[in-house]
Amino acid sequence: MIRSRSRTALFGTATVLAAVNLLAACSSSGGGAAASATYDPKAPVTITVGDEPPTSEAPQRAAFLANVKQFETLNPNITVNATETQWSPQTYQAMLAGGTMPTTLIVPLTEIQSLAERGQVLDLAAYTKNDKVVSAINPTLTKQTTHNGDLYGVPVGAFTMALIYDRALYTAAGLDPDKPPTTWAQVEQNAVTIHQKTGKAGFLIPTVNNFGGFVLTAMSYGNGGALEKTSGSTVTSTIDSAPVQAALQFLHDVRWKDGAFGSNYLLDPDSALKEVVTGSAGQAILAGDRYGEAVFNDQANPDDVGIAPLPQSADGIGTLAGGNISVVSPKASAAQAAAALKWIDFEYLTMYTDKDAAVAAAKASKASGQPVGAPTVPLFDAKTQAQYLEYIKDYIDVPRDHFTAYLNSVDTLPMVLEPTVAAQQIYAMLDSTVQAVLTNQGTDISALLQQNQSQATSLINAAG
Amino acid sequence: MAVKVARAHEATSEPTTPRAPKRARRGTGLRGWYRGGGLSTLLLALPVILVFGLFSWWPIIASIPMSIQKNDLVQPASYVGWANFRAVLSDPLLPTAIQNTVWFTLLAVVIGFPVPILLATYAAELRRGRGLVSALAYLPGVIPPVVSVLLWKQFYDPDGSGLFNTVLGWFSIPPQPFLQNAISAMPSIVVQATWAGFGSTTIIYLAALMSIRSDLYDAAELDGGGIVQRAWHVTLPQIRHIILLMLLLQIIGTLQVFTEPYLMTGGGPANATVTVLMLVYDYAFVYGNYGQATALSLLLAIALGVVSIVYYRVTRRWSSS
Amino acid sequence: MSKVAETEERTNLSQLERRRPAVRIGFAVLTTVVVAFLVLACAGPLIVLAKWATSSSQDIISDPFGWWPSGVVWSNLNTALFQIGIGQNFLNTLWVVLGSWIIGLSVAVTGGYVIAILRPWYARFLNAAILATLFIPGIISLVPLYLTILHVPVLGVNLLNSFWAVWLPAGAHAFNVLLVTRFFRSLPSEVFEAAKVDGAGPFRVLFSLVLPMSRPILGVASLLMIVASWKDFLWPLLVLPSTSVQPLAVALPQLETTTTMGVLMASLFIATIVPVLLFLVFQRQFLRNAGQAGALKA
Repeated sequence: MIRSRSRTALFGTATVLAAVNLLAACSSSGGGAAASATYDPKAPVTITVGDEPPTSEAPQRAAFLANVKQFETLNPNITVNATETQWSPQTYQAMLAGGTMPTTLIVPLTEIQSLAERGQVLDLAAYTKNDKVVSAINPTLTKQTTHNGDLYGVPVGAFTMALIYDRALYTAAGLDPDKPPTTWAQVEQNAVTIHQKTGKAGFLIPTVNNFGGFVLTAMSYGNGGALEKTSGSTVTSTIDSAPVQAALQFLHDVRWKDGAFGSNYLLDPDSALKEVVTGSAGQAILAGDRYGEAVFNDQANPDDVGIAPLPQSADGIGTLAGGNISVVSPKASAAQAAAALKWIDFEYLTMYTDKDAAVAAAKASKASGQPVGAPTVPLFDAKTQAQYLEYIKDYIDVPRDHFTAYLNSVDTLPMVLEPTVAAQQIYAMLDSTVQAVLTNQGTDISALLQQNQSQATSLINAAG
Repeated sequence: MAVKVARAHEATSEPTTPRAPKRARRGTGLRGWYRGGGLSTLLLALPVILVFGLFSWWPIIASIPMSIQKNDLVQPASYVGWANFRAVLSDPLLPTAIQNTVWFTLLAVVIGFPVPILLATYAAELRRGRGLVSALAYLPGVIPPVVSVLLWKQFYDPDGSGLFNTVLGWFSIPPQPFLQNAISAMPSIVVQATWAGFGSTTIIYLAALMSIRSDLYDAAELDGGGIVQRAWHVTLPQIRHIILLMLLLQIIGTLQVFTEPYLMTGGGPANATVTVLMLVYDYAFVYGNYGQATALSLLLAIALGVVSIVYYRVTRRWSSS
Repeated sequence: MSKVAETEERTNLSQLERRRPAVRIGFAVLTTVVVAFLVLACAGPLIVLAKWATSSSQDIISDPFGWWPSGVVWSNLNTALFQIGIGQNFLNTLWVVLGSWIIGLSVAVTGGYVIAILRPWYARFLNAAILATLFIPGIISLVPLYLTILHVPVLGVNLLNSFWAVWLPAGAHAFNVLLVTRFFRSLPSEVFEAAKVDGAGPFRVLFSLVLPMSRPILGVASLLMIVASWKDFLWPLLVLPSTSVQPLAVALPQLETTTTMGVLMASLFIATIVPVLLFLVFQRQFLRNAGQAGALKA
């Protein structure tokens, strides 16, 4: 669900496995499922693209606009208007209703299913049928952007939940920063050690804006179970189950038994990241692709940022995956949709598949002070990723050997997707569960989970 | 023009002049209307009619059909009968939100209501410092609410080194969680809201107090009343009307509170500070369910209407006693 | 009582009582306590804010009362104003307040004039319709008004991200209209009748007679409108989603998570300094109008 700091994540931490055969021109299909009319690929068409970096991010903005120019040169019949518009839950509907939504925009992975359900994004099946690049994207990711068999969004960035830790605090507490914990028991132990030896919080998680629920979901996966079970077309809530209980018990113990939790229980994810990477806390469960943000926005010392795979219990089923999805406005014409997909390919995907584009992107990142080579989840397969790293190897300035465990886990640790029905509402509900556990020592976790499960069931039924 | 005005002043001796039957003089029909200044009048009435029509009357009227529609702004709205109301009433957060909102109002009345009255009663006796006291009291109200909320949020830092906890530390009181605890969160918010609002209310009471007739005090003193007795038997009854009005306004206002809990705690911890208006906001602007949001607003508005009527009846009885 | 009543103005405490030592001392003590408390409670936070605006984030968090342990950080203010755009938000706030004031005043004055002085046949209905909205809580029209902004009936425009989305609804406040209406009603109508006899049209009367006489009420109404507009949070949050047009109230909360504590405090300080300075300079007018507004509410 987490929408990484948009362009920062995409530009700066754009180390993604990539490179498949790149087709210069992508979509070519004519009349598709959603678009009724065929269109002339050579006819002039104008599209609006969102997510232009704002003026406060001058180098990224310059790079973005340079790409726009280059794209227009390569496709003389397409005119591109760039806007700073970004997705936000409050304004998306209004934008659509008012006709001010750009032709293409980036939305978080979490949102795509409900958007597709409500008909608020365009069905891209017809346009991507013959698109080799899009078809080569990791199927785990495209599966999530598929609704009723049709593709509704193109994944352009992905991440998994991870353990972010401060290497400096680890060293100060006498722990080995190159040996991050792999089980929850070890996490707790390290948290206690850090707190005792350095006085700083040993562990924390964000708890507001639906992130409490999101992180809890990830922790449940790490403890062996999911929040929902799907059998056929029925979805049942499994919140009242051992893995979720274990995750909450873990939070409870770190907070009340060990006293090693941070002191802010209404923490948003940006502040949570800041606390860890600036040495106010030792460990946190956050998205794994925020290296660039940590170094660039929060001014963390690059050597101190530690990223490890999500700890797993003996029954752990994997980690929670999220991403950025590029969608097309449902009000776009067929010609516009095709042009938009060309843009998406050009702007977000070629940098992993084409050597010149990769080098250019790396140079731009360097110029803007963004790190090159930060760890993220590959969009494409391992061969492409290796090739991509080869392309940019002269520019990588991230100590990738600090993240070997995480980078390896990308292949070995299963990526489990979010709950498929009513996810946002369930996260909101779990936010208050997490807050209750952290602020009230006497919270009866079992009773609370029973309550949550019945609430989740009504939410699922209402959404169905 | 000035000369004519002077003449008018000289001439008049009766308090109010009945309206002259000017229209009959100018003639009837469209011509008459026009010559009588009808068009100009209409033009002058246009701003208020247009602005109110589009942005006040129309939304109020439109809320009724909207509350029985399913509307997400993209697909055409469809009628769903009572479904919105049923969904709203069966939302498990609703009882919590109502409870929190009522609790906020109660705390605001208990903590915030006596302060302006007491302060104004005291300030009315000041011969020289009244301006200073008024200005100081009003100062927090001049600060934009967003600023004061964010500032107090930092004051409420639960760490031992937070501002308020540092002060408590001077008196050997352990650090308090303030906003981080379900029980103390709401009172913390109320204290901040009271701080911001007590000044303007104090000024209003002060103005009312300054207009109490002196002979009432003289009479009470002659009847043997001491300072406190006079305050109780003269001051308070004289401003009773305005006290009751301010109380009602405060209750109606705080039942619609949004900004403070939204910015301070986002509704937490564990939904302890979610208010009804925050629910409306969530339905509409987070979940995109505009019909349900309108249904809840309608219910809240009806509740407020009932509160006003009951209040009016009850205070009528007090006023007449 | 005989006709020889005391004409001396007094409040609770009489002249005689004030001379009694018990009362004098007691009152002096009370005054000291109250004034000290008010200075601490009301001016204190502002002083702290001023200090924090120039402190490093570390100082704010770990030593809130300290005397700038890490030194004065003037760059916070610079960063706030120029790098993260608070300066732009400030201008936006000024725009929003100015427009709301002009529109609000125009609607109130013309509406009050028509209802109270010109009194056409539809004046009574107009008045009733406006009065009725006073009793309807604002919450009911939040969502429908939002949809109206997205698609204004008759005109069919979308006002989202335009200042008109804030200005126009600001004019639709019944209290201001009724305030002005009540005042106009109290003006001597013979003056206007006489002017009409002399051939002055409605516009002439409004601008040459009514407005000059209305200075006090225009002051009160303006104060109410400006203060309400400056403080407005939820409505601009909804209709001005683009960061380039957001007023301070909407932009500031977003800074909480994206900037350092020092820069946040500097931004808060910048947002506060103007209203506070205005208040300190125009204290008397502020307080007089605030008191009057309350009296008129009753």
